[in-house]
Amino acid sequence: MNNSGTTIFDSWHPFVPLAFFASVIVLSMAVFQPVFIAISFIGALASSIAIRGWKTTVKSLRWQLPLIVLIVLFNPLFSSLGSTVLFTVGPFTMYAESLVYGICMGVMLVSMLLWFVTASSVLSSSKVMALFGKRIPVLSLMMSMIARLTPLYVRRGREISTVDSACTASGRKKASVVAQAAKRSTVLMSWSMEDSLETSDAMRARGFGASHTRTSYARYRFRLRDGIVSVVLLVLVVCCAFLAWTAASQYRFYPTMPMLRIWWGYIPYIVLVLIPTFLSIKEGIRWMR
Amino acid sequence: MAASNTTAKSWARILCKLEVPLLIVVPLTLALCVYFNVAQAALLSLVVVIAALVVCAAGFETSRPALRQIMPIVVLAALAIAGRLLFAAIPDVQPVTAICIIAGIVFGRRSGFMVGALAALVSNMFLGQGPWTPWQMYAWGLAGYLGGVLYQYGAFKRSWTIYVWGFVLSFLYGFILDSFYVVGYVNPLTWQGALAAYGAGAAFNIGHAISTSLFLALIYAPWKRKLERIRRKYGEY
Repeated sequence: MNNSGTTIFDSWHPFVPLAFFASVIVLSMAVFQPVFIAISFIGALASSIAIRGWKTTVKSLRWQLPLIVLIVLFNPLFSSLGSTVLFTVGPFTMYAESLVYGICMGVMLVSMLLWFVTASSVLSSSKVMALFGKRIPVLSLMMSMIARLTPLYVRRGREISTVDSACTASGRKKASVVAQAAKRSTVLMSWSMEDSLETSDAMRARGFGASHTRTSYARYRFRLRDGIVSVVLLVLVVCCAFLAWTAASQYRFYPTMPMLRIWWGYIPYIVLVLIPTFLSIKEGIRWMR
Repeated sequence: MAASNTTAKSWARILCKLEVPLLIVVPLTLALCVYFNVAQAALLSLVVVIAALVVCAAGFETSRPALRQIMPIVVLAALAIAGRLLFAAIPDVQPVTAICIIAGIVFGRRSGFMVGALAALVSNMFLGQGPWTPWQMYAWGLAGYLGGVLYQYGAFKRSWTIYVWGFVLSFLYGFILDSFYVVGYVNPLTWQGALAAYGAGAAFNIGHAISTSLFLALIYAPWKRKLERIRRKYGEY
């Protein structure tokens, strides 16, 4: 839907999406009951479409759907348990319970993958830094340095290869490909290491680490409405967790599966997983006017 | 300020002592989940592995490392990620495991752990985060940690031992990553199911093990020599 890097969660403090995605992922992992799994999958799919757009979601489903099929088949073939025999092939007996279990497992894994990609597209590295930068200054400094140095080293590696090829092009004894790769990687490593130690000296000379705490520029401010939303979210999550626990403790796959009934207790979870979709629909309506 | 410094230091000492038990608890949890057939195995093991990672990271953070201590970790992690991206087309063939081992040997076990954990976390920002991220962080962190411990006790006096270690360790890495899937996501767990899951991973693990040994044979000696030269040039890290 948008490629500008902005998402519907941008008007909130990064804590709100972090809390939302963390609790949804934990709930989807913990609750193994068919209806809750289906709700989580629909929510994950809708959120992914709302936040990452149609095309990206379909592209990621292209390799995730075969994964479901694999897991669906894997479980009943090797875990022959259950009471309703579907068919028998050679030594393998396919039971309905085991098949349903496999389907649930596959759908749960894919919805978790979808939640994870959606979460990481919402929580950009700058937002993660804003959340943790003050509390864990050393590690967030390291992470931002690594994220910045990796592309630099890829470029530097290419530069070294070009220079090395140019220097050895004029008929000097050709080293083997393996020896050449070892030499180039060593050059890259020692260049980068010395460079980084020069950088650390320069940082210290400019006063890094001179004061006990480092100040940081806060782009995001935790306002009253972020607080209210967080509390509402917490109440909803606790409510869902309790209902899900009730539902899951009454449900058994083996030896026979009980009938599933329509129950009001599914509604809070539906509301929870569809929050990103609601927000994006609201945004869409606002822009249409 | 002095008071907060001493509390930070005592925290660092406590966290440092927790490090080893928590690293051991992670595989123990997986084994106990299988033994007692725990229903919430996926969530329980995830919580334990995250707790282990948080304790190790907090121990590093509260020890207030100097810039000269941070930089080698940052550089080696970034190089490992660059290597991983370079070989991304071939599954499980990557130099990360080898670089973690070297980091543990040259800079000590805690730096080795941090290289592995940070390389896994940041490289998955490029390649995709998922429920496997904490397990990769743990497994690669362990590769660096064990490398440092074994070197300290003089296990790598002969160079062939380190290639064998790289081979063994790659299988350990594969075993940890396959186990988190088998324990958490195959239910009810049977021998055939477990064997099929590990068997499916075996081809990748063999590729990983051979490539790690090759990477170590290729870069261990020259990198170690260069790193020691840099250490002499710049003084103690």
